[in-house]
Formats: sequence, structure tokens, C-alpha cells
Amino acid sequence: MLEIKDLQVTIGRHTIVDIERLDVAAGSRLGMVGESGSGKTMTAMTIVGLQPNDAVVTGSITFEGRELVGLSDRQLAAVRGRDIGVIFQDPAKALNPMMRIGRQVAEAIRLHMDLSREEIKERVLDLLTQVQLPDAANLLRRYPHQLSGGQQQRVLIAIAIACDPKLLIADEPTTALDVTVQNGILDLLRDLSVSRKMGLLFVSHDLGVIQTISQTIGVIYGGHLVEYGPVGQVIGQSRHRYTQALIAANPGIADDEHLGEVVNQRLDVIRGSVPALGKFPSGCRFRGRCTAEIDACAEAPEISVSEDGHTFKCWNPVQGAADTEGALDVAR
Amino acid sequence: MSLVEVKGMHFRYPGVGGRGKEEWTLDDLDLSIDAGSAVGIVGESGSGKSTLVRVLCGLLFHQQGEVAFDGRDIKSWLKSEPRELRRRNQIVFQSPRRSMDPRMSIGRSLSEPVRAIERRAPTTDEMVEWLKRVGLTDEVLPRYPHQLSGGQLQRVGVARALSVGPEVLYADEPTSALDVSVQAQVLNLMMDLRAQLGLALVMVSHDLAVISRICEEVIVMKDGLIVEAGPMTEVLSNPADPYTAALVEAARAVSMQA
Repeated sequence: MLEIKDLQVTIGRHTIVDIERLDVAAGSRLGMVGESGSGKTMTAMTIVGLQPNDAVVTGSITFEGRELVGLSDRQLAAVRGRDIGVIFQDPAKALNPMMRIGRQVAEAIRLHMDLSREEIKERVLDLLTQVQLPDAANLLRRYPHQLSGGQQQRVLIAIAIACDPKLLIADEPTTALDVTVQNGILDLLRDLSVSRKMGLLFVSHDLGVIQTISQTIGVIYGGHLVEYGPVGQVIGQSRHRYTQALIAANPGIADDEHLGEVVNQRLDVIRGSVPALGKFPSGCRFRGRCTAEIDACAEAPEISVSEDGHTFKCWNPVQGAADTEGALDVAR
Repeated sequence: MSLVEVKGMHFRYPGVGGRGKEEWTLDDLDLSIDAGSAVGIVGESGSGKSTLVRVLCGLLFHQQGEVAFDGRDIKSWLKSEPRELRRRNQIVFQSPRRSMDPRMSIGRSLSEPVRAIERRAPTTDEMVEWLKRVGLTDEVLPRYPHQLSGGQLQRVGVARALSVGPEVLYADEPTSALDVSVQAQVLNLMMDLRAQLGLALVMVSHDLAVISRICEEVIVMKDGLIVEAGPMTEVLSNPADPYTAALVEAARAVSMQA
């Protein structure tokens, strides 16, 4: 349904995103994980034409066969909000503080659909119920500040799905929320994706969250899609050294019987930090932080194909479960 | 006798609750922190975690109840020996970038606690020694905060807090502004320093996974109350309070499983 090919987003002299290929099939859930400055948000926003004004976009993004790159703002505005819904990170900032909830949800419908006032009102109520907000009729008259963060995010989801989009892009939709609230939102997004056969592109820095929500994962580092494939493969049988190191550096909560053993045990670390924009090395972007480096890494890695559409870009990939050579730098 | 003892402590911010209304930001808290222990404070946003550590290290003043450090009331410390209290209790904040003055060199920022508490300027050798402890070199001394990465700045934050030789290090979400790949470095650093220096570590975090790796004791807060406290392994494996149970379940659901 959504196909990205040879997408490059360049601002000034810096290429921020450089992705050869990325697809989201109808009704499937793709999780894009990366650290700050990896280009994950830029990729997601470029799909709906919300990249910064000075960004130059080349390559191709097709949605149901239609090319999105190069569309005018007006043409894009017709796709955005109608066929592609978007949810942003901070619900408090994405809602208009001066507008009642009912009107904000209705606005999305009015812009894209030709419905009478009564029909719109009915649809708003229906949407608020679908996102499991209690007492929807009462909620219509409220202002954003009267809602909790989780409720605000549910309103944003209602707005995003108001026109039955075929694809929903969610950029860190749970990062500003408490963990107990987060899971409810993740369940809701998963249920909506299944019941409406809606594609979901979920962007997050949190590998645990990505693992929970996605069927397919794209790991992005320095603007490159370094590993891509089904969740089980990318997490369980990672081939790229960065993916492997990122998984190892995630604390996680041990089983009840092992809690006492792991407390005060050093965590596996990745040395150094994510380089600033424009400071990434040539060749493999993970060079300098990776400890399994070989001479070939000075050249940009090609895409290797494993099985079941699992691809990775690494010259010296992880060979098996026992192969932890280099990736884990136990010294500080 | 624990190093920090809190009994029936109430706190509210000016303008909250007030006249006749019994609304407290921190409501009747009891807790104790032993020398050399590692205590994690978890809970949802707005539960009072950050407020609590600020009261404990004497940055906010409670209205009722007792907060004692080393057997002596914290208000008495602040009245007669405020600098001594600060020397023995230090804090590292969430955003390393916002907790450094952008117009001060790292060297100057680093020297501030010693200037304020010991009333002297530290020597370069001393500062290099502090930086070495957190895995940095003298290269960073003349630089400014915008020239350092988040992870480096947080190390400077830790080095600065430790420069006066505290017995308790409070850390308020010290890694939540950092990338995952950098978070592990800072957590390891805190573990090492605690072991080397015999510090007590009191760490606030919304991330139960982080707390489970670094703290032997845990305090669970909700709506200004301590709903549960005890050894980390017990609280996580056998939560007594329904909120704790929900928190542990939710955190486990999104915890990494490789």
C-alpha cells in the first residue's frame, strides 16, 4: 500500500534520511525504531509532506500507486487526514487549547467529508466511543486541559481515524504517557489496525514498545535503514551489529526469580554516543561505535537478504546466537 | 538509625490546597534510607516523586512532620549548617542541558559546588580527578555545554555532584533525556561510583526496568502517597498494592524480550 523507494531527504549539505526501500502493506503494522537524530521522525513526516520547508526530497513514496513526492501542498492536504492519518507525540501540544473537543474532532470530518451537521455529530460520538472514551456526549463540550494525557491521546487518535484512513502514522504516540496508560493506547491502536484493516506506521525510540506493537520492524540509524524484517527475526535473530547492541543495552525487567541476580550487574553498553548531524562517518554509519568492525566497513554496506524478507546492511553481520563478538563492549 | 528518616511528612506547594482544605502534594509520608543503600522511587507523573527528593535534600520545605538527616532535623541543619547539609546531600537532575549554565564553561560549572560549599576555588588537578572518575578528560574543561553530548553532560552533572563528597546522591530521572545506547553507560557509572564511594543512591525514575537493575529497595508512589515500599525483588515479584501490581504488569508488557 505504501512503498518507499530510494528516499533521500537533504537539508543543506546533510542527508538526513537515505532509505532504499520500505513498505507498509494494508492492515500491517510496521515499527520504526531509532535513537534521537536517526531520521525516524523525518521519514514519517516526509510521507505526509510535513518535512521542514528547506528539506529537499528525492526518490519515490507511493501510496496505493499514487506518487506523493512532488505533490503540491493542496494535493497533499487532501491525502493527509483523509487516506493517511497522523498522530503526534505530545497530545497536549497537538490539540488546540481554545477549542472544545467536539469541534476539533468534527473539523477533521468536515474538511474531508460531505456530511450534514447531524451526521457529523453522530460520527464524532461514534469515534469517541470507538477510542474507548467514557461518557462521550459529555466530553464533546470539554476543553483539552480538562482531560488527562491518555484521554487527550485518545481524542487525537479519534481525529486521526475520523475519515477512515487506510494508513495511520503514529510518531511516538505513547512517549509522553505513563506506562500504565501507554498499554491501553497500544492495545487500542492494534485493535483499530486489525478491525479496520488499517496500516500502521509506528515510530518510537523504545524497542520494547516497538516489539509489542509491530509485526515488522525497521531499525534506523544515522538516516539509514540498517535492519528490516519480521519482529521475531529482527529481535530474535538480529544480524546487524547495531540492532544487537541496542537490544543488549535495553535494561528490561528480569523474571521474578532472576531479579535479585541482575540488580547491580553492569549493563551492556554501546561506546560513544550518536554523532551529531553531519558528523556520521562515511561507509557504515555505525563505524567507530561498533566493535566488530572490519576493513570493508569503510565502504557503504550493501543490502543483504536473509530469509522471509529480513534484510540488513552490515559487512560483518552477527552469525548466530553465540556470536556476540565485539558488539558488547563491557568496558565503560 | 537510618541516615534519612521521614515520619508523617506533609508537603504542599504554595497556593495548593490551603485554608481548611486538606490537600497535600505529599501526604503523610514515612520512609527511611540507610547509608550506602540504593533506593528507587517509581510512580506515575504527578505522583510526587520529584517533589519528595527535593524535600529530602532540603530544596523544598515540608510543612508538617519530620525529616531527619543523620539524626538531626533538616530544618535545624539548614538554619545552622546549611553548607554541611548540601555537602552531604547532592542531586543530579533530569535534563543535563538545563542543569548547566549555557554561558559557563564546563570547568566553571564543575567548580560551583566547591566554591559555594567549601568557599574556595578547586585546583585544575582536583577537577581532572573528578572528571576521571566519570570517564571524562580535561579536554572538556574549557568547553561549553552546547559543545558536549547529552551523555557527556550528564557525566559532568554526576562529577559535579560528587565533587563535595556527598553521602547521599539523589538522581531525578538521570537517564530519561538520554538515548538508550547512552543510558546504559550512565547507569553503569552510577553503580560503579556507589560501590567505590559507599554512597547511598536515591533514584527517581518512571522506568521500572531501570530501577530493577540498579536499586535494591523501591518506593512506589501514587497521588502523593507511598503505596508500597520494600526490597525491589519482593515488590516486583509479589506486589501487595493494586497500583504496584498494575505498574509492574504494564512495565513488563513493554519490557524488552530478546
